[in-house]
Amino acid sequence: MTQRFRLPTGGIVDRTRPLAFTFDGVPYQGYGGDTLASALLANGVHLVGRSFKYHRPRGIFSAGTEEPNALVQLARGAHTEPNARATTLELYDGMTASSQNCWPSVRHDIGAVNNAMSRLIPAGFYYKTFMWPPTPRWWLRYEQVIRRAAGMGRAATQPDPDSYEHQYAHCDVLVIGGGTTGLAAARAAALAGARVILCEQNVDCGAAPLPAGTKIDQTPASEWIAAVASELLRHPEVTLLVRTTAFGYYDGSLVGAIERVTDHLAAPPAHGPRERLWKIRATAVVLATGAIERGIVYANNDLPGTLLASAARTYVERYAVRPGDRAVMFTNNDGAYADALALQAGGVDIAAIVDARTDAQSSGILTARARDAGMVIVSAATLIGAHGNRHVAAVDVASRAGVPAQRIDCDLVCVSGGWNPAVHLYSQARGKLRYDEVLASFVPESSPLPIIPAGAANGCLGLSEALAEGHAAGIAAARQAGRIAALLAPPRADPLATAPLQPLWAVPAARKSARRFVDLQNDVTVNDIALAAREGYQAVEHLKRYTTLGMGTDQGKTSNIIGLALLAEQLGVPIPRVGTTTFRPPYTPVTLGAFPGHESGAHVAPTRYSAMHAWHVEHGARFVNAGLWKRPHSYPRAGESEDDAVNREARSVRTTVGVVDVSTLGKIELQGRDVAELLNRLYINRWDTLAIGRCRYGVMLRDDGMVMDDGTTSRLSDTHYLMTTTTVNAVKVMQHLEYLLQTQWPELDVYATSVTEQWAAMALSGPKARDVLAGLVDIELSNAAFPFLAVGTCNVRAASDDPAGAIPARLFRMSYSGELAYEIHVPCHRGLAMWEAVLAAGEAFGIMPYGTEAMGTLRIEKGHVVIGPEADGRTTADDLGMGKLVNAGKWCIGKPLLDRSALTAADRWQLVGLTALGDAPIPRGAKIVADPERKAPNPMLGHVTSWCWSPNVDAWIALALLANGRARHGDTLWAVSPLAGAKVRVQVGPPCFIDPDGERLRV
Amino acid sequence: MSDDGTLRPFGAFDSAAPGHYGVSPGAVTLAEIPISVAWNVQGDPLHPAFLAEAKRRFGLALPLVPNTTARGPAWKALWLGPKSWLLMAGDETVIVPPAGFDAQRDALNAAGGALFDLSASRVAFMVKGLRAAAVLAKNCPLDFHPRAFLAGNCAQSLLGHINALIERPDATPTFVVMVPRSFAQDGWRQLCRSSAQYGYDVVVPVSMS
Amino acid sequence: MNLFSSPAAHANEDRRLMLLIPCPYCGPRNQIEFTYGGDATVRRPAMKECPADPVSAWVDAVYVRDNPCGPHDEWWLHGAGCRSWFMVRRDTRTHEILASARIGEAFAGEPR
Repeated sequence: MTQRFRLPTGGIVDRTRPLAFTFDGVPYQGYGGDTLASALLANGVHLVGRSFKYHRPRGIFSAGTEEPNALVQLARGAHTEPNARATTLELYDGMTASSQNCWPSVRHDIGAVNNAMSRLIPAGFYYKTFMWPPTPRWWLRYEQVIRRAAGMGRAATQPDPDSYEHQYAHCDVLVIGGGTTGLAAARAAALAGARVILCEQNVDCGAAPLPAGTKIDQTPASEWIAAVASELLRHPEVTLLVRTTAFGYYDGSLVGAIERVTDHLAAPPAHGPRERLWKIRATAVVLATGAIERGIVYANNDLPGTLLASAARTYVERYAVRPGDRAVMFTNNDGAYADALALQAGGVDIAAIVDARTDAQSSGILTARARDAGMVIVSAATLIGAHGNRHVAAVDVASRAGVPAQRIDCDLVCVSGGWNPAVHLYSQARGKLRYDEVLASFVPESSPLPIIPAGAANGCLGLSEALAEGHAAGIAAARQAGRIAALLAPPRADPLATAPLQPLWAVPAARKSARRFVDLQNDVTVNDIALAAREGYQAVEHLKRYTTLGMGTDQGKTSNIIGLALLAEQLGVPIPRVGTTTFRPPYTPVTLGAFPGHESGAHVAPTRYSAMHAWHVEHGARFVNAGLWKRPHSYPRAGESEDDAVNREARSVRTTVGVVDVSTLGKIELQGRDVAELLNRLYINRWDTLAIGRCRYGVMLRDDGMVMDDGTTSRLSDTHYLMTTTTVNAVKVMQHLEYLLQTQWPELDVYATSVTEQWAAMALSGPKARDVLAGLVDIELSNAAFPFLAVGTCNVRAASDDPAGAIPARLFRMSYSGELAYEIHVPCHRGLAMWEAVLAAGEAFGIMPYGTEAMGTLRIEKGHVVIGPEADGRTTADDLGMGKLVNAGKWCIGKPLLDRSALTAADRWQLVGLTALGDAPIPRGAKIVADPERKAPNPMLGHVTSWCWSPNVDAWIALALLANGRARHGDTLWAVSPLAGAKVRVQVGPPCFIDPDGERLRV
Repeated sequence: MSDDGTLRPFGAFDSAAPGHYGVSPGAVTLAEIPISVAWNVQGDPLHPAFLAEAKRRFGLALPLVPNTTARGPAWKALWLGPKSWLLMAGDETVIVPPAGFDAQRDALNAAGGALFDLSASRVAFMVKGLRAAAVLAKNCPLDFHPRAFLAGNCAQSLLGHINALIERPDATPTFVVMVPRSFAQDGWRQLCRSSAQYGYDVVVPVSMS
Repeated sequence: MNLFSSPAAHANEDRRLMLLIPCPYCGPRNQIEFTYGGDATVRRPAMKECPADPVSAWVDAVYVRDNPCGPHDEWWLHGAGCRSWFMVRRDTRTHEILASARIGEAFAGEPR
């Protein structure tokens, strides 16, 4: 059986390009140009899945993105994708797809037992049944079972192997939808000189079917479409995007669109993305998204072989596939007549056209044509039910007068209940909708944003009117962007006289037990809606959540309006009173990988590297993330543990000399007459006394008085200063400075710029630091010439083979480790040369590089606080033992609020040092208690902020914030971690463990 | 701090090696552009003394229209902010004398302005070719259309999460993208990844002047 | 119809929307280039000001905020751009940006 339902001629399929594919393991053949759905139908396969709740057999229902049923699991190499819509999936050679939600197979599905029990599973069944006993624990247990039985496809378990990217785009006019309306709009806007982007979700423009023989501007419609599309394609200011769905309209008139770049290819190219997420900023948007057909609800309206009438025709005309041999049309409008004519031309026998309207109501030209073509038209009648086992075999037709039903054999039912304009993006653009009585649907009314609906999306279903609307919308949109159109006639088509639709939502069932589906994807029936209304779920948003109407991958594109019309009927109110649910993005599902784009995996955030990074890598550094920076944690030697490396590095600084890369510190240069005044206002201590060539430590407060940041500031010249900040606060402090200088103190003559990137920095620490440096620099380093807190410039001797020669440097005599130390800053591109020069000069003294961990050990030994662990946003300078730094004689930011009584209370948590009594490590993040055995709640006296093994004290030590801590020196308390099950006896003392008088750093 | 006038080639990773990458033939050319001198001048354009001093020092009138550039015989000025400009040596052979920077700074300070040495702060990349704008637009929200981003314009924005200063030197589809030095590797990676689908050639560092 | 959006949300229908955050120097730019800087209607007590009760003056400035429904003036920094702080008037109901202003200048095209 090879493509038995394929027509010999016609359609867009390429019969010279056969494509092999498998569905549920069975091999089939289709043609280039097919969708998976059209290829399945060509092979007579309608049954493609089981329904969500009752596991009823379901078939292909539509030919587009609105598809509720034909969701398949797609296998691609090692990758699997659930819920792919067969109706939009372009067939490629080797496609492997399978049905979802059934086991062991789609024909024999054990879950179908739910169907037999369906009267027991009404709307809200799960809520009612599994909410007892009333604890969430039980629901969680039930949920596991329910999720397994229900659910859609299987999610992939492996990382997504595909590549995705973003693309920003800007245009004057964005036209969404490349049908005839959109083409007319894009052409008009482009001729007006606008930059235009046209998004079309199909593979080509103008895919929607038109009545046979339609002409536009005296040429056959298909030729007009091709000509305009190619004109747009060639236009330098037009970007024509196909396979691109505009899925959302966001704040600031940003439209998100997803372009499927490679999904239609059997072998995607090696470079480039699978999907491209467009972020389009348009001055104006033309919404030409068309309309989506809806069905009419009747008993067993979900049997495979039931299609939307326009979809059946699309399969015939576009894909050259007969979706059946003998069709019954069921309609309440003229559209199905054009569809019937097309089906007949494709060789489908039209058994009957069942029209809910009377003869008088259905007197359009298409009806006459159908009659002329010999079709049987049953007027004022409804289709009350379908019969069949896994496929429709017959339908019962009854006139409304109550005449006994007549059974008509058929293998295809084509339903048309009218058209719903695709207003989703309009609504997202804060557009108001209006219920249109003629269309019996919601149409755009007005939006405060520059979005212009046109054509079927605007409720205008006639071609000639839609072309005129599209044209006018294109010109209006271009005008909003300041482009004035030259005089250009709109494209013309002959108007078609049609008779109006008569609303019909659901046909009463002959038997009470018959199931009439409103929402095929979520198995919501007419009875479910009635039940919900009876139980008080009368707001449309409540109805949605209670019944799941309009949820899922199709978001109720074919079902929502019917559902709310039925709710209105139940409540006895007009449809506009019920309203619609909110149309939220995305319009169609978007692959999650497209949202991060390039920013996934290791590239979720950018990485910053210091100038010496390559050296660190080469010398075995273990790295740690510090903000976006990679910093060396330690440099373990062969066979050495990280802990041993840290201890070795920390010991070397206290005994000989070490060097650490501190390039990541924030550095801000300040110039101007008023820098000292600015510093006085920023820092708690005094700055107008700082001499040229000197630096000073400072602490900055937030407005609320808490410590914000710390660092040193140096005076480089009369008017030039260098401020350093912590690594993490570099950006924040710069913003803070700019805020104050620009908005609060514009009178200050101060200019600031961040120079973090300009300078590579290293700290050389240890008793031998001066000896190492003396051989390298061209200035005198004696204590008299370059004392503690001195700042100067010098030239550093680079390696003899360095063509750039001596390295200009800034030298600072400051110490974080508590040892004799220098900080050396050099222009970033010389950072590596400087680093290597220092290490070479230090070799004779046993120099070793140290990482952030040893740096941490050294500062804990010295009791230096860090912004974050100790200054955690709740600590004042006094809490951290720096109350004396607060200069009483001047104002600074945060100082007024330090006077609040709570900030000076006796039980403030204050910085202390802890020494473990015994060999056990002080547990990470431990809390401090007086008695570890006391039953909870055990009063917490404070907590450990930083801890380490101190190779220099030879004990586990920690810094901690402890209630009234300064008065507790000498006390013995407990550091406990209930989480780790650890408790350690600790002795409280001052936070500085080494050289409390600071003699070493002044030697 | 004086600048030593040396070039700062950045090519510290594999994909910076000259050659062809991605699909063939290529539609993009990438290269590093060495920066010799880049000084940040700040001051209030409402103060004539400052503007005059800047003109005397650099031989050009600082551009006062946002996001524009100005060229003098030796220097080029890029607008960075209402009181801030980036002065770049237009010709890499210009060697600033060792005492040059401090003297210039003091002079500008005296005129109520400021001068900061940022010569090593940024790394510059050239993105050139028919697809140059498309490559940048993958991760940068600016509009690179020739009617929106004119020849001689500059703008600061983001390339992914990286701050970027972008300049269009002339009417050809060529952009200069400057990113902070610590982010250079990531910036380069982004440009390469965005270019691969169009094909790109990496060429040895070039001068833009 | 449309029961789910308040009529007030459509009060400014006749006015052209600013598409992006309009930096007073660089023009409209994507929001990702900006950093929010808080309520611009708060008055920070002047440094030299010695009100009778400086603590409560600063408590007001640091902690007390209005939560207006409608236009709200706020600070924004064009951090990835020209590094200017400026004021933005944003409608808290619609997220619509009504105007922006340089420091010390009035909002251009004051809507009301």
